[in-house]
Amino acid sequence: MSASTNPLREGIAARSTPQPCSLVIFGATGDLTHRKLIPALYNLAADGDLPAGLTVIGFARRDKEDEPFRKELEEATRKFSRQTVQDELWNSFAQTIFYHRSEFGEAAGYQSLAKRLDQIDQERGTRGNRLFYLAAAPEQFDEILTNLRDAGLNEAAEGSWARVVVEKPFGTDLPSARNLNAIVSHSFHERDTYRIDHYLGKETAQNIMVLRFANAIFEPLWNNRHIDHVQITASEPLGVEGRGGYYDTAGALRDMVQNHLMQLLCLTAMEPPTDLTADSVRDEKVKVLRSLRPLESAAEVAENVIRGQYAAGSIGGKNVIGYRAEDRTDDRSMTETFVALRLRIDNWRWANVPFYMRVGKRLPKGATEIAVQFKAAPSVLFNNPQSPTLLGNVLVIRIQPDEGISLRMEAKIPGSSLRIEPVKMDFHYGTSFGKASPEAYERLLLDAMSGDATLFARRDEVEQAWAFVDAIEQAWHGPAAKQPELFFYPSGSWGPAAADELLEREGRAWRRL
Amino acid sequence: MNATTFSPGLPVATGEIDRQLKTLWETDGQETARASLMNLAIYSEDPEALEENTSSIAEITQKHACRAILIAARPDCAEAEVRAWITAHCHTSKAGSKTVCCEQITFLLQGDVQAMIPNIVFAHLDSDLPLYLWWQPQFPRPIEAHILTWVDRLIFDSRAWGDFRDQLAILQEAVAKTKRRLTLRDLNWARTLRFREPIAQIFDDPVNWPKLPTISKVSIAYGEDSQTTALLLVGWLASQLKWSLRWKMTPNGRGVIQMEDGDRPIELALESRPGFSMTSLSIVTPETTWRLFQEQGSDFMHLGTERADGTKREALLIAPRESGAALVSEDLTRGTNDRIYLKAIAKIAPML
Repeated sequence: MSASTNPLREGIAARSTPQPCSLVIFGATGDLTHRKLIPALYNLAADGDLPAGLTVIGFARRDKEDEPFRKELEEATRKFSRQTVQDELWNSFAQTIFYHRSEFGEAAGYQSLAKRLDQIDQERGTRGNRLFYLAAAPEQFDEILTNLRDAGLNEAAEGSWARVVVEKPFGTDLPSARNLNAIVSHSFHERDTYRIDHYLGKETAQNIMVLRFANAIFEPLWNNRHIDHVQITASEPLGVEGRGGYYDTAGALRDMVQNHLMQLLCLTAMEPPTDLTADSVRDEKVKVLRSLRPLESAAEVAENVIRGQYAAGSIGGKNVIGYRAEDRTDDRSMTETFVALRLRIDNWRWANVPFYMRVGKRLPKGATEIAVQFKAAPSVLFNNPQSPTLLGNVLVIRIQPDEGISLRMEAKIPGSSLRIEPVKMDFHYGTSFGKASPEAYERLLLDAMSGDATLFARRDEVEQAWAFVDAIEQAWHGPAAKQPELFFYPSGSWGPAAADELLEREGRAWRRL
Repeated sequence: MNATTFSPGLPVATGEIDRQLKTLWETDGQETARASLMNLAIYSEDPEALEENTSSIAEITQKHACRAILIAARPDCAEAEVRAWITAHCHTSKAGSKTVCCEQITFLLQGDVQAMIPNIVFAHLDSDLPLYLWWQPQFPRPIEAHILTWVDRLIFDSRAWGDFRDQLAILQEAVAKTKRRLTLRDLNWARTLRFREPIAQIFDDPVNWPKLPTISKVSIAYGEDSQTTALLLVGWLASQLKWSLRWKMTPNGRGVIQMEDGDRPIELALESRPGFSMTSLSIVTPETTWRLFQEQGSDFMHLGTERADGTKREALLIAPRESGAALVSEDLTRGTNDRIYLKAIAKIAPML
């Protein structure tokens, strides 16, 4: 029997409430728990979306009791929650939060966790349903997962479930991703593994499929006959902001392209899935990754990928230091803080349509968006050599900030002469829908509790993306003589000139954001 | 309308409304965005209600961008007259960077208003957007058919109906004459959502939903003006769970509702209490009793669960507010399907 047969749910638009469960957060004293996870859970509680009996157990190394832990989380939630915290509701929600102290590598800590979870099952009716959230550093995943398995917590009792949520990065290259996947799959089935990429929880990312497949005007144009090229941009004015140690070993390609931007690429380029089940959607996304034309040599990488690193410059009227002068970065670091790529998807739909991606730090403004540039109208009537060049329509899907969609089109300027200028139709989520969008983590946590993996990355997706990215990394770290150049760009600019040339040589230009 | 304390905006001639609205936006001077996802018309026959309805629109537009058309009618006036005002409701968008504004056009109609309403509404719609009409007075017999042919959602409040059966019959006749699909949204039904949603949640749980066929008793306590709200809830349970409802006279001359699941009787206890809204609902099975209750004036609903072995659990839920604007606002976020409501109404109609 499934809850979908509950006759009282019919006509009440909200989704079915997940089954009662225990949510164990590893790394409970960390930033992610304070800034994202607990505020997201509170918002879900305020919206009445959490199952009765949900119990949150923070698992971490520091000595702490339940009450001080709850107090810390309350302060964080008051600071980071999108909704105002109501005392009565928080007090009720806080009673569902507990702290469990243990080292990640300490077997006894997991045995006592197992006992505690059994007790919670009895007292709070969570019935053996467990969601383990790995909000710890990736190098600790192995010992956490091994200990969970050794304590028997990876297997659920009959009729219950045990799932694991894995935070990015899912490895640092293909071998490490495979190794991590092997570790995870040693403890949990793939169907119970939820690899979180918070970009997929954003409303606009979810809206890409709705825009494409629920509006009949777009899909007939969504191919190489009508689309000239696609640009995906993720820019931010921030530098490494104290994450120099991590970032210097990662770089923009691993930190952003392999996961977030590849996911946006997949949603933009994929074929319509047969249905909206998790595997149907993910099957189509994997096909896009498999169709990416590989970059097989350092020369091909140099021709199609530009890497850059920010130098000193100015952001918002303030002078800022260069990357190599940042705290905990190598002063001879070759780590890229900017990447521009030209990608080709070798399938019928996208033959000869380049997909350009750029991602970078210390750029003039923060924006993540997908721009679909349509081909210009034929060179007759208004598009003759004597008239100004028509720019072609552009459909822009803004992921953040100011989520929305705009369409640029040509229009006649009022007057007796025929002058044509581009105009923009603009849809803003924030303007049209007064309701605040839920945070990405709210949706994703609820999905994981409900067993819906649609917005989570599957193993083959992750590995396929790494396989593509690894070829670039290998070229960058190969023999010095063949290494593609690392270009420096002043902070506050739109990246190195070489990134502009990547498009200019094909008669195109990056969009002005 | 009390003109000394309230003005619904800038007075305009009815033929000048579009031009004046345009001017309103051009002279604003601030960085504002006009937003509209629907046309929301409110019809009342109480000119004093204009102020309250303007406040309602201000509240509703915080969540639902719309063009609002407020109509206050005085059909008892012998002399026909139309007066109009325009105004805008602005608020900072959730993104925080923009001021988002919605237009309100207000009309005061006197005389034979039934004939005027369709034109007044049709002439001022934001094109290609759905039309939702919130009809506040009792329905006249017959309802002006023209207006319903353009309405996508008809919003009303059956709790305010004097003669429930008669009003329902008028509505059903009008809907039957309407050739296009008209969705009925009863605010009295929306009021039951605070109970329906947690009850549905309880039985989403695969451990609980097999207990549905074992429900032995349903108790509802309601404010004295909320009897129909309570009955709608009963109708919903009965229609969704395929229970039968029968009206039966007791030996002492009182009428009671008998509820049965096949041959199995289910006890129904309806208790009227002083106050206005519904206050509590209990569902009893041999293993578990669930009780939802809300204290007077509280923003929260308590859900108590008590098992036969004596274990008890409490949970706190946010209860949506009950004002007309809050109910409309909540209802606008919901789907457009009224099938479940119509099924519930069909169950209780013989008892009303």
